[in-house]
Amino acid sequence: MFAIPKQIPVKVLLSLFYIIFISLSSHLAVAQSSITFATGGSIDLNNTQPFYHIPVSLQWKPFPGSQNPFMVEINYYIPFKRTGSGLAYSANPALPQQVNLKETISPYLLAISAGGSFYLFTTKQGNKFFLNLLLGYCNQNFKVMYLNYDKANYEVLNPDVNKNKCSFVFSFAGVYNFHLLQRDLQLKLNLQTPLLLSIGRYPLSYKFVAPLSLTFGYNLYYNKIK
Amino acid sequence: MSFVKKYLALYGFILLALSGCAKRNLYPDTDDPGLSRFTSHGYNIATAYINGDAYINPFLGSLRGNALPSIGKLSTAAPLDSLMISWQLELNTDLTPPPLSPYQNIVLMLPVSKSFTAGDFLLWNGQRFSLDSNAVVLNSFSDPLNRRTGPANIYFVKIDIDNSNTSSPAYQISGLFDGKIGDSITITKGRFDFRIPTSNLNF
Repeated sequence: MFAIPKQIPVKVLLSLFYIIFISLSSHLAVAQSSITFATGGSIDLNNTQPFYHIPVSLQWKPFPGSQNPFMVEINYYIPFKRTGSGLAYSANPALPQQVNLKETISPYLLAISAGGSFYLFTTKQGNKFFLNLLLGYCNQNFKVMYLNYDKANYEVLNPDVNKNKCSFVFSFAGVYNFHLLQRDLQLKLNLQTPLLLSIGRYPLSYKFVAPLSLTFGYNLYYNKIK
Repeated sequence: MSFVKKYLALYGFILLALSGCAKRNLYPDTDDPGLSRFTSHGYNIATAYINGDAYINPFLGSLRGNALPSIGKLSTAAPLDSLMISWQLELNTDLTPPPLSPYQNIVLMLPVSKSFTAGDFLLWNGQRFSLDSNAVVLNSFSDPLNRRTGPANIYFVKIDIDNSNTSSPAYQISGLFDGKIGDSITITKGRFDFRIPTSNLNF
C-alpha cells in the first residue's frame, strides 16, 4: 500500500518532507520540554495479512517555548507472531510426498526519528492537539520459522527467509495531550511508512511493515512555560 | 543532429543490454550450505550434494545466464524409451574459477512409452518416481569412460506451462532428486528449478 515507486528518488521525498516541515514551523508552536512514555497497539497497513505489534514509545521534546517544535522519538515494536503455512516435499519414497508446515513470522521494528511537533489547536478544557512529522531511521528484522518438520528429508518450496534491513521512514502522528486526574496524558495515532527500500528480488510472503499505532502515554513536563 | 541521434541510440542500446542482463538467481539455503533454496520461479538453478560436496549448474555470464538443462526423449530398441533431463555441473565454492570437479554433467533418466508426448510430461506434475525404474548418470567430459550410473528418486513437484510471454511459452519445472551410485557415490538433497522454452522439447 505504501510502496514508494522506484522512480521517485529518496532525495525528492526528503526535500518534500522538509518543505512541509519548514512551512509548518512558521506557525506558532507551543512545544514545551517534555518526555513522554507511551504504549498501545499497532496494525500493519502494508501487508494483506497484517502484522500486529505492541509499540513502546519514548518521545523527547527538548526545547521549551513556542519557537522550536523539534522532537526526537524512539519506537520499538514488539511483534505478535503471524502464523501461516508452507509446504515441504520429500523425494524419499519411504516418506509422505508432502507435508503441511506451520510458519511463523515475527518482525521486530526499531525506529529512531526526529522532526517537529506542530501545535494545531487547544480545546476549551485546555487540552492540545499536535501534528507530528518525523523522519526516522528504522530497522525491520523479520524472523521466519517453519515448525516441526524433518529438515533432513524434506525441502520447503519457495521458503520465506529472515530479512534484516535498515532504511529511512517517515512518520505522521496526530497527538492529543490532555489532563485527567491531575495527570498529563497523551493519546497518539501514529502512521509510519515502510522502509524506503526494495525488499529484494526473491519473492517473500511479506513486505516491510507500515505500522499504524494507537498509543496512550504519560507526559512528564520540565521547563514548563506558564 | 544525426550525431546526437546516434549517441542516443547507443545509450538506449546500452540501457537495454543492461536491463536484459541475466541473473545468477542463486538464493543460498542457510540450512544446506552451498545449495540454492528449493524454488518454483523458473530460476534455472539446480544444486545437489554429491558425496557431501555442493554442486551447481554453472553461470555462463550475464548474457547467457545459468546453464540451461536439456530435456529430450532417447529412442531405444527396447519396449520403452528414456526421457533424459541433463545439465552441466560444477563445484559450488567461493573460489573463482571453481576447482575441477570429477563430474561435469548429470542426467536424470526416466522410462517412458514410445508415444510419450509433452502433454504426458505435464501430467507428471506432483508425481514422484522411485529408485526401481529411474537412473542418475554422472559424466566426466575429461574422462568419458568415467561414466557412473545408479538408481534415483525423482520427484516432479511442479510442472506447469508459463504463457506469460506469448511469443515464448515455457515449461516451469521444479523438483527434487537423490540417488546412489554403487557404494562410492551418494547424491542427496538434489533440487532443480528450470524454465525451458517449449520449443526446446523434442517430444
